[in-house]
Amino acid sequence: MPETNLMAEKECQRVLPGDLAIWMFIFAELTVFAIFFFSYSWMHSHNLEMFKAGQENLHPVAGLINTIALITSSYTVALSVFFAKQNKIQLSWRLLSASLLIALIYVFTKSWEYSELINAGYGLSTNNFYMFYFFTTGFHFMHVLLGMLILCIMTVRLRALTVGDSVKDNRDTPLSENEMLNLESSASYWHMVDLLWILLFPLVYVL
Amino acid sequence: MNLIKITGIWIGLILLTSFAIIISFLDLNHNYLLIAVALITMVKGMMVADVFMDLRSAPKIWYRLMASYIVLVPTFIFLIYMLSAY
Repeated sequence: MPETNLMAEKECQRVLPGDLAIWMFIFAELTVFAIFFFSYSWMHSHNLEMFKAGQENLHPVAGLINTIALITSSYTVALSVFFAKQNKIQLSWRLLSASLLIALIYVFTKSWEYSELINAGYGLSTNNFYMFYFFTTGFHFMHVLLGMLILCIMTVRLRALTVGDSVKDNRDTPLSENEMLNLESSASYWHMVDLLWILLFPLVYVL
Repeated sequence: MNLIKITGIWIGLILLTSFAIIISFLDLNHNYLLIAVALITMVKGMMVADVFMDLRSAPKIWYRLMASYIVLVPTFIFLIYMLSAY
């Protein structure tokens, strides 16, 4: 078989995890965030003193806790997909539930950070640093909440499968193609939320 | 995708995050800090895309798009900081 045919065959065997629409949505979101990141960097590099003073009021430990929470949550979602592919649906939905609980750590820590800053008198209109900080991290926070809602819906759907009559006697029944696609789409969205935080975290807390 | 690889990536991500925090407390030259943080961010992003998102097994166009994003965004951020310093 000619080499070009082999390469074409290999390419055909490659499958996008999840629905095509979710990947279009993911790249649209990534583009919007890239604009925020560039704007933040531009503003930071031209207002070094203001941004340095603002960053001193943030809590790097809270940033670290949030990062570890999102990374760990992303890890349990990846495990959930892995076990769903092994037809271990019960383990899969339990891992999704664990992801949601871990994501709550992020929600509580971020809310605490916001309340600390607001109680100290800082807000969107204080200066450019706080405007960018609240707007960018707040927009990301909304994505976390949306991701949690999607994971919650997926958990309920997978759990319903394990208590349904068709699976009661055989817990290793594979997920339908459509349900697997939904799970992979939800997981991909959640990993995007994690990826965005990986880019946002050094901008806000490290540099 | 296998269990050991996914777990290894999770541990690697946590270690790299901790390392980024540690170097931010060291009295490093800002340019070196920028380079180190940009590289760490790229590596972490590729780990998420390769293993968690499983884009390695996706059609190459999608993998390349994501890899370009992960490399180009930190690079442009690095350039913005560098150029504004001069």
